[in-house]
Amino acid sequence: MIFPTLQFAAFFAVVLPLSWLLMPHPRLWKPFIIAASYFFYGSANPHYVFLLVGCTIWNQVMAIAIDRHCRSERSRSIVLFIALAGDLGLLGWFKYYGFFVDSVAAFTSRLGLPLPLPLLQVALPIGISFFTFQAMSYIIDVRRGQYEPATFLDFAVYLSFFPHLIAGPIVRARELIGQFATPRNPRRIEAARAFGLICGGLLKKVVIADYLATRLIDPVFGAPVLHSRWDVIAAIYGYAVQIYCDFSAYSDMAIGLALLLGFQFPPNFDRPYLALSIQEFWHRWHMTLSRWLRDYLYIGLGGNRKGRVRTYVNLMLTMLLGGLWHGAAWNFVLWGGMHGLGLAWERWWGNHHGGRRQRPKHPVLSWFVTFQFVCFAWILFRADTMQTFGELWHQLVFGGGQTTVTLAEVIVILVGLGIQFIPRDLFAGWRIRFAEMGPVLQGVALSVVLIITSAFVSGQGVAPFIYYRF
Amino acid sequence: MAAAPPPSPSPTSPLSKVLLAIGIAFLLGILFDARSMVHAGQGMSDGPARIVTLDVGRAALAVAKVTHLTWPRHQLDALLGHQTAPSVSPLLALAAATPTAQVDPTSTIQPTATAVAVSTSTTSETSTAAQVASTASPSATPTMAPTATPAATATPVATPTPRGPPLFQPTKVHPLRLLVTGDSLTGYLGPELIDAAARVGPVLGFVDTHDGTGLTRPDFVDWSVVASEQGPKYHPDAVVVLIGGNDFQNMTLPGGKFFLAGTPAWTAEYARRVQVCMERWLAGGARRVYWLSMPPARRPDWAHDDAQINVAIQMAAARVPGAEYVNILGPITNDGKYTDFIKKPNGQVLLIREQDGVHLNQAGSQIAADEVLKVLERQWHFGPQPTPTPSSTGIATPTVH
Repeated sequence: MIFPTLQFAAFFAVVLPLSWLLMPHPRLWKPFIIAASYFFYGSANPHYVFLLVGCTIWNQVMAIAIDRHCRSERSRSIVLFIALAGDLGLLGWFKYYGFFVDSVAAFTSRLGLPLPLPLLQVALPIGISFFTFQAMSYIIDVRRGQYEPATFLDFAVYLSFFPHLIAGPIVRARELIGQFATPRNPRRIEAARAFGLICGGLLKKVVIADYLATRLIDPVFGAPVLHSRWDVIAAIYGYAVQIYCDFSAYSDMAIGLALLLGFQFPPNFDRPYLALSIQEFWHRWHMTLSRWLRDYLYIGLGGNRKGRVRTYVNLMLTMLLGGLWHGAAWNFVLWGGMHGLGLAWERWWGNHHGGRRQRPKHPVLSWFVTFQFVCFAWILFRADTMQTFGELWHQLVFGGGQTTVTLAEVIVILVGLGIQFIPRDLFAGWRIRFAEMGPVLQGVALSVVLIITSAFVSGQGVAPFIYYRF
Repeated sequence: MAAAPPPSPSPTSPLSKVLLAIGIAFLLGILFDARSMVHAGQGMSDGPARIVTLDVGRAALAVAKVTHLTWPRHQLDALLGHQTAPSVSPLLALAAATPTAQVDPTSTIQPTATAVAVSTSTTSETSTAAQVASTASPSATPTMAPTATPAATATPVATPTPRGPPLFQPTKVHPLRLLVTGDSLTGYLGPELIDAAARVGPVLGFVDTHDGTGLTRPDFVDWSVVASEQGPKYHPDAVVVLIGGNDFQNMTLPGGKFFLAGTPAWTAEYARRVQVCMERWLAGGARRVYWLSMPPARRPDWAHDDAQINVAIQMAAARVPGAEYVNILGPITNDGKYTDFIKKPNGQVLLIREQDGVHLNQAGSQIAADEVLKVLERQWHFGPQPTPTPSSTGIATPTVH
């Protein structure tokens, strides 16, 4: 079930009033919202619900063991290690087994020593990267003494809460479980912000991301040799817009749906293409993953506390693993490595030129270089194979001929980039005006957005979100 | 890493107002856009959700038509250049007009109740459809005929069609306009085939994938309409088609006639629909339609239907001059049966299927594309191009097959 569908609209239309009806009775509300979330998750494949239940039980048992039954630091660390091994084992089996075996088999075949490896095709459960990372953050926080284990029901709601279950934001236990403690106030729903995020997300996904994908990006990345240099350039910038409008749309809708249910999620995107450095880009792009990688991986590796060289290595390792998190393929690892190199280079440059906290002397130049770096790194992210990657670069340098890019596609790319320049205050003003409208006018306004997005959806429906497959 | 600035203080509303606004939005949305709701329902799998969606959508559409609430959406569609869908699917209308959606008695191929594997005679240039029929007898088992297993086939085989528009040798000036179309199975195959073809010959390629569609649900997307639209849109010389990934389901005609999946009547009706689509592409200017065999799915019951689909495609191809059935199963199956991995001649093991057990992954699509390319190369005579001469520049040189 994906958000912009009739099925989800029907599901949410039932869940929203029932959730508020049961909210004053947590003993009823929690099982209800767990059941609703499992139904949402199981609508694609009911078998995977068992995986989610298993992940919940495993981490809760381990968290309680760490908090209540381990007397020494050493025993806590051992239990944490076992818990993380279980989570990573789950992720490794479902997401990376095929990649690992394929890579080893290809390598040994090249050496002329083909190994009889156990070849299995393992289906990837949707959202597994997101909920395992949330579970890991919970258990690490418990181990660090930053958070006490929640009740089983609270933890189960936290892990399965349907607005974030499939593709984030990666919410931390202490951010969400605390909100379960007190019933939400039904007289103070941030509806204007929620509707703004949901409608904005719908428009970004359907009008910009899907339009660019079908008209420009898929044809060019699918068969680069058939396209000119200008097509490839447009597709590269178009993909930068597509992935932003696709993923941020999902995050916006998730945050908006949670708001309607009375809960706050952390922001996940903050106009990333305005960044003046790679580091700033990661402060603005998929922010909940960035902070997860920072807090549980980069700092865990020693961060910047172990000397300059080790800092560069830690940055590189963090980004390589961050790349691998996105997908079990070498192109994602290389994409992460490219960003790791960029971050390490920025750190080195900052260390040798007056401190890294300084604002850039030439902000426009810094923005331009950062934006180009990010856009061209996306080629690795989007190219299915290294052959496609090579062909794109070949066409970029040598690809003559006429462009097939239309004015409409250029305009959509510019609009996709341009929305990041809209001042925050403007959105705030819209929200106030919308909130002042009566419910009938609000309903009419919302229905207009629904009809517009529906008109843009082709006969085959809304394309799946890019981050669903991670 | 710095946290994002907190969002501006946001105004709040009471729940009653929120629910009322959402209710009004849904109601207006359904009324203004009832046709989309009906369309969405038509695309759903059989079940209560489909029934409810269709019932609500049709009721809303009736109200919307009376009150002219369909007008805004019509205007929006006109603004966006969308075509309004016909009220009755031509594919279904044709079926209704043709009372016997049964096997053509003159056809050499009969549908079978059992899964019938595809004939893969290596003497493709001289064999006839009747030879294909000889292996597709009712007594055939679900396995490949031992004398004609796909794995044993060195080259892909197209059911030969002695008639059909003449072919020409593509040149840089007059390249082969190649359209690869179908359901999501063409997602990787299309780009791979066009990429591969463009490397060996003067090819101008187009991929037109319609995810989640098939021939069993023309009420959702009618492939005969798609085929008719693709002619003037792409002007293809050759059309490569792969459809069937969503067709593991029963079919119903407007009059209520029901075809249970896997039965001979289902196969005959499916063949009729394939035939109609083939004719539409050829009528639109294509000189050849290459309809690819459906790779078997992992689920055994689906694999059975895949085999029936392949029989149906052969039946249709045998009736339509210019249309050919291309068997791509040899290198991507284990003797016609589903497999995730294949072993290359150099011993390397390759994963060729997606995790869903239906789609070919990129490596599998590449292998399938190579199979199709062999047929294209052979029939369209790709290869070293002569220097354009006044006689050949801009004018197709027919090469009759």
